[in-house]
Amino acid sequence: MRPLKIASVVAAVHLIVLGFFFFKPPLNYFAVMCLSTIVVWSAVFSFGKGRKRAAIIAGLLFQLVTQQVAYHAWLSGQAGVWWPLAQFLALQYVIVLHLGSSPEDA
Amino acid sequence: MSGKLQASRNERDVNCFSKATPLLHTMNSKMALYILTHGVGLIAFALLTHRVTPGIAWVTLITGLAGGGLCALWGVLGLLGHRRRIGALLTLIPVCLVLITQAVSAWMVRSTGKSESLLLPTLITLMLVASVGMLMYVLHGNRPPEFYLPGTARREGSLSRGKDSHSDAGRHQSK
Repeated sequence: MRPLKIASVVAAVHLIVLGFFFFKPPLNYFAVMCLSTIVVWSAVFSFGKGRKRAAIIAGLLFQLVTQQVAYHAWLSGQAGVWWPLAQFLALQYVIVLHLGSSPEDA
Repeated sequence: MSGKLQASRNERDVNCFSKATPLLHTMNSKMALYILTHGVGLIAFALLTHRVTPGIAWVTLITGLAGGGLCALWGVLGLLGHRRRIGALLTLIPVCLVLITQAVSAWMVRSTGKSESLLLPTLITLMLVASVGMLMYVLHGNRPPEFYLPGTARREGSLSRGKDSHSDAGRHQSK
């Protein structure tokens, strides 16, 4: 399972990096992505300890809505839907995997 | 004779600009100086986080030292004439990624009450904000409009811009 995890993280990091070269995210969009990631996931992993899976799904849905709002506000005229979405999901995957396996969370 | 000379000069300029499409990806001295300053600042902040919470923020320390050191290196190389932005971009993207995970962890620990101090999460968040700002500046700063066009259109745009600017220059010279 561990090699699979490492391979998936490497693929996700590549997606994040390639996203910068394929759709060149503007400052507003990327700042909103970073800040909402910090706020949502620190809240989810702090307060959703009892129902971890439900909390992660709720956090992911909330993040998805935020990403779509930010995309339509700042990016829809400049880039297609798929690269921003793939980069966003890869970022969330790396964060959730890191936090889900951190010693504080165990 | 002079018309022939002018035509050959124009052709040479066009060829020069078609080869010079990578100019879209270069930085100037001001940007190199900002990257150098950011690198030094990142190192300073990493040392500060390690000083305020010794033995805890190891990942932040390593990220700050390695990322800051590399940024400083790209800045110095930029000032010395190596004008490609790709190195700085490929340093700043992982730095931002690691700092996001560290910021989430730090705020999480703070909100669960395991730590009362606001200093560590605030410092990491400041490092993140500075790195995101620098990443966006390196990605978008001083780009010509052709940079935002898709591949072929970008090359054509760069070529026509080169033609225009050089024919303008020729006009000014003839005046």
